[in-house]
Amino acid sequence: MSLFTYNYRPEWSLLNNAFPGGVYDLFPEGRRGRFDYTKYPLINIWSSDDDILVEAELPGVDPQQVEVTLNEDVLTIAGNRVVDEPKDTEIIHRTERVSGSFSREITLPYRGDADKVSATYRNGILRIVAARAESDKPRRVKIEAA
Amino acid sequence: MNIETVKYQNGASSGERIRNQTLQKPNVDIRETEAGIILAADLPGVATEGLNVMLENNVLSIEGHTAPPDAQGRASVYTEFGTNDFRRVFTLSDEVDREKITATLKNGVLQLFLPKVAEAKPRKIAVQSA
Repeated sequence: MSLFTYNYRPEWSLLNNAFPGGVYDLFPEGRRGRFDYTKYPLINIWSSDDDILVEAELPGVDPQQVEVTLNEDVLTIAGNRVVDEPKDTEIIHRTERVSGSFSREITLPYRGDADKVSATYRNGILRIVAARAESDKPRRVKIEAA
Repeated sequence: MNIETVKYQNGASSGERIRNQTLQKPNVDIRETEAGIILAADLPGVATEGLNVMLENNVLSIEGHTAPPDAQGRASVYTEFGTNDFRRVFTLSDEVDREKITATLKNGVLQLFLPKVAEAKPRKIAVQSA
């Protein structure tokens, strides 16, 4: 038995906060074994030093109805997904597709330049590229010999 | 959605199609009207070239292939959805008029209309008073 007790919580918080949504969010299938619709649309994020690529799985929306906004380092994807409403005379056999309004905020690793964001929508995938803000780019500091 | 990982053995000699992708069943909405059946399927990332809708005997199968995303050298930071193929199979009844099935793919959503043969549509029978 050790004379000291070690508090693991700070390490855990560091690890948990390193991932958006927490560590357990990396494994949504294992957590519940089924698709978690509290987050819509699903996104993938890639980043480089100069810009960030976000792809969202968003089939069947009108690109004019989707709002993509960038505020400092928060990218928001919002819109409304419309699925044909069945009429009363129709028999419904399966309803598996989701519909309704959605809004998702993504915190980027650095501030983006709102003038240099591009968004394209193809085959149901929304692809957003946000360039890094000039003021946010790291600057090399010259060391003076004193 | 169920995710089935399809493992392929080296079946080149037996002519099996080999693809190194996970397989997923797409979400569908199926509604039936007097004219026919309307089927809508979510197939994000599938282009017309990658879509295969086949009818063999009574079996309708929908297959969609997607391509891995082009990250252009950026490192992956966060992943919620993967690249996978879609496949779903339905058995049709004799009511469907196979010659007149229409399919359109727009923004990753496949809309299929399967009209009923004329005999299967409800017909009003005139009643004569005698």
